[in-house]
Amino acid sequence: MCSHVRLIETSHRILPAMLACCLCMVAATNARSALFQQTQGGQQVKPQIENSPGSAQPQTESLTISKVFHVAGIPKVSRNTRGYLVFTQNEMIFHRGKRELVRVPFQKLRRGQLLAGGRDNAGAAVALAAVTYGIGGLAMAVQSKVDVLVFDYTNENGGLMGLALQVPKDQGKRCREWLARFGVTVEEPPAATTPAKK
Amino acid sequence: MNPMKTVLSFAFLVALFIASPVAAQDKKATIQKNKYQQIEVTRFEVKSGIVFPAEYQVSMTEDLVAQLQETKKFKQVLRLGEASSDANAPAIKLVGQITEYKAGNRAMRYMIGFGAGKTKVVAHIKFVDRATGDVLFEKDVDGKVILGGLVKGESIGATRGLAKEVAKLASEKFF
Repeated sequence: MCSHVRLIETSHRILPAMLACCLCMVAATNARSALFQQTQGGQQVKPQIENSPGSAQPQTESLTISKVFHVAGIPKVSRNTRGYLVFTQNEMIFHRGKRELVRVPFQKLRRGQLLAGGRDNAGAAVALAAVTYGIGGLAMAVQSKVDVLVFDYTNENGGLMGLALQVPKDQGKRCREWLARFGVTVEEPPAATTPAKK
Repeated sequence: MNPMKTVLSFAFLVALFIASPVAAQDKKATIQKNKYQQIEVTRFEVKSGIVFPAEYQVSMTEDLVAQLQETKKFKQVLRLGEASSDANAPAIKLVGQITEYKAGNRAMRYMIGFGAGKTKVVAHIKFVDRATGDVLFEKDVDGKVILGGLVKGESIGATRGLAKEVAKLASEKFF
């Protein structure tokens, strides 16, 4: 009995501290991503010079978008796999770490769409729920705004495939501008369309 | 009773039965088992008036391909326009139309449950003989997300449920 009373007293002291910790973590993550987007816009233009000393080599550019989530389209890759998207002058590649998950040449792209979407903060919701006996799971009602890129392309056998990726808010526009430079049109449906939510 | 009348009545009943739609339906539903070794999955259309997210369409097609491959009944599961290893082999074409979509809400499923915030996708599917264009079988299928867990329970998971039902139907009807 005494041990139970002690346990309850201890948990009453620890619980608010843990809750405060989790809230700070969530706030810090959001602030960090907002700061990153403000200062660099999530875009890194990397001029790359090919290795060939003594000879004039053309500079290549690429556009890298980080914090990209796979929604659907890549076989045997689970939903919500996080990686980064690289656009070169003739193809786009989705990486997870050092591994390439999909590589699509621009000439294979048939259609592109840029949509507005939302993303659940499942990780934060789980953490909050764990320390608040489930009540903190209500954080799932708060969604982060993201851009959703949906592409149709043909694979090496001529089959029609689709690819849906979530990129940080406003990065979809940069992707569209990059692709437009190389003749790939990315449509933006009219505002009347219901935003896609996860 | 006049035996002639009895015979005529019986003959009339038999003729009525043969001409009945029930009998006709049974004939139409007869599918030759193990004939089709390939299936081509097309991108489902969306009925006008329904706003179906583009990424859900992508997810549905991929889920259909994956679930049909998992049945291990078909030698080849092809995407639209994909080249087949044997062009002359009998093949089915899977076509469909999304007829109903309810977006649902994951947070409501978690907070309230009991069906609140349910996500639902309904499609009318047809299995068509690719060579002749005959409709072999058609049905309404659906996929739902009712439970809203923190770890699982994403709304887009409804397409996987629908794909599983389609794969199960294909296994039962054609093998």
